[in-house]
Amino acid sequence: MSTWVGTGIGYRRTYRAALGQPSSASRPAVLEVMPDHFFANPSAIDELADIPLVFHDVGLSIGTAPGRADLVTQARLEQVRALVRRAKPLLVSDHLAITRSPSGVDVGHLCPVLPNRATLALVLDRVRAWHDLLELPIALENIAHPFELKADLSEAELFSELVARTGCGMLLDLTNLVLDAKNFGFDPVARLEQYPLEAVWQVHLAGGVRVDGFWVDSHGAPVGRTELDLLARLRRRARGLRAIIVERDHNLPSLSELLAEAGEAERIWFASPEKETICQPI
Amino acid sequence: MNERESSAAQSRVARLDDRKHECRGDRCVRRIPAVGEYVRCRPGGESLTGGYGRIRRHTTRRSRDRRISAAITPRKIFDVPSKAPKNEKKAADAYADPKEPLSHQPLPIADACSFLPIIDVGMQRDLVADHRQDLPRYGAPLEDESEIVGFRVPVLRDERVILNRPIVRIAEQEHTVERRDFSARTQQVRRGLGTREDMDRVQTASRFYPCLLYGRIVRPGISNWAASVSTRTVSSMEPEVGSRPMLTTFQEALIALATDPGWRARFRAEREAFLEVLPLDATERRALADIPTEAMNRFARSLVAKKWQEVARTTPLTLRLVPQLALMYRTWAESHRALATYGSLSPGAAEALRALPALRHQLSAPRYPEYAADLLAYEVLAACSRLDRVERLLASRWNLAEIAADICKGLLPIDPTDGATLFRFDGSGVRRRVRP
Repeated sequence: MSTWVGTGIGYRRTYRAALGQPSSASRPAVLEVMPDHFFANPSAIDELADIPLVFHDVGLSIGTAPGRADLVTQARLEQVRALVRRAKPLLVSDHLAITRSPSGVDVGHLCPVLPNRATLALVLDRVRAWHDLLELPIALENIAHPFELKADLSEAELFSELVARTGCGMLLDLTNLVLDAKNFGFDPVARLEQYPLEAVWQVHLAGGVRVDGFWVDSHGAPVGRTELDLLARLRRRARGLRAIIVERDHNLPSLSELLAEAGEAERIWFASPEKETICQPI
Repeated sequence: MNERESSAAQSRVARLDDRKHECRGDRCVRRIPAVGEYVRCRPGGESLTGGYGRIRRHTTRRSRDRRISAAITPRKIFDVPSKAPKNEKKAADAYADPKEPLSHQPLPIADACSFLPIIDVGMQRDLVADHRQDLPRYGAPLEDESEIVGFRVPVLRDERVILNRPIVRIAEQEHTVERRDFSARTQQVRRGLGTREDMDRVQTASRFYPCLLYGRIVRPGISNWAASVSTRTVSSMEPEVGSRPMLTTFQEALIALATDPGWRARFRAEREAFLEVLPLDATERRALADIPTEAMNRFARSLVAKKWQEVARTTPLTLRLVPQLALMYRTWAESHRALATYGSLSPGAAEALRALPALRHQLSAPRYPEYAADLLAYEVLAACSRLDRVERLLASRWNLAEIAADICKGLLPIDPTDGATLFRFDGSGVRRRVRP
């Protein structure tokens, strides 16, 4: 049975009115929702009841070692769980990263985890616990790294172990992969092959910008060509893919323009293999 | 709001960004509470309810030190059985109050113990700096503020302060309530086998170390997860990792490097020596040592820039009025690390609320418009209340709604209407009442 749901966009408040209209033309096939947008007013998510939803959080800090920060995670999980029960999304995802220290210092952004056995053990336990708690498939996303942390495992090995031992999925952010490749000088195609592609459930596409010679995932520009090429390469491998989401946080275009970007991604995903483009070296 | 309600509301407002203390009744006490007096704490701009505590003076025989604390804790009613249950599990269940908000649940012992030394490294200095101005109001007759050694970190949930208690050191030792200081009966209480009398007896200590007294989390659901994850991850899944608090020091150090300019300076100046003193294993030490200085600096800058981007969305009018607000925020944020909180606010609004006291203080300088500080508070509180639907109050001598409307139109009020006004923010908007 196919797991494919469709291509869609990330929900932003700017699009609320347009998404609330019942006309099918202005509605994506799937909508990615950040749960914290609805923590204060959970009933607002009912407006999106007839669109398939996937939840994407940024604040669970799955890699943070046990400590005082657990209280924050617990509370956030409670809020997410309440929203999950209300909206019944298809899956819940977060980043394989930390956003706060064990003692509770908030970073405010995604900080990479140390890819070693200790982190693996920690995240394994958390994924299992969250899976039991939320009663939904859990997917973890690769982040755009501000710097590289080298340890016993590579990031791809960490994902492979997690997928194999918990049954969780991977949310593959192709933009983050491409930006990392540009910043740290590796081949994105070779790195792509190292990820557990059969467990990729969702793909993120977003725009990046170069700031002071370093590429950052600004989510403020159209999706780059390299990412779309990687998407075409992914097609034959990621057979469990459920959704492709185009993310945009800044310089928001009109809803129709963003949906057109998502449509382009869908066209590439369903293009015949013979027309596949070859990813150019960066 | 009728006249009486208006008057009552006014009496509740001390200052927007400050703490106010009240007697247990409704009377507002704008003075230092005395030892033995009950106080309630309500951070302005955040609706704290139910917190109470009593100023106490503590002396422990063993360490011969004295502590004076304002134990401002949430109202907590223990339901302790009069007879000690035989079964340990049942006993533990009996101590768990199902109505108690989750955040009141104590931390596992291991977490609390591992937390305390870490906070000493970098965060404590910031906390002391942040709270120094508040200390006299907590009622301690401070002979010397330099004796302040520690704070419990405020953890906010649903706008309640869970732990927020400065501890003042008179003697040398800090964090001196150790496990060996507890009597055998206290140990039983900790295991859930004590009686009500035992519980009463150890209340004093619990004001300092509730996490040590109630080391077991027994509520089903997430609490169990939190309790188990801290013990299971090391021991059961990856035995080769050992019993050292896994990753904790590494992550604390990594995040301190990203958020604390002092750490980065030391890291830059003497990297190897700096890392040598941290209890890290070889992999962790190498991983930190391999981070390029420029990459870490860039990451640190990006964190502040990202936060400002979010804060700026909350304060567009003040930013138009005082473009230096961006620099003010960045300077402040670099030296004031945020503590993770949870609630319904967006990251930007939560950060704006955190920075509000400091920014408001800076904006009250004569070189800025007189109403700039209040306008900032007006914007931030309105945004926060719109998001989380919590009612907030602001007393100002200006009609800020009028000023905001003018700035929206691109007008800069140079002689705005001067009239004491009370603003009430909630999910539906802003209401104002001219104060008599």
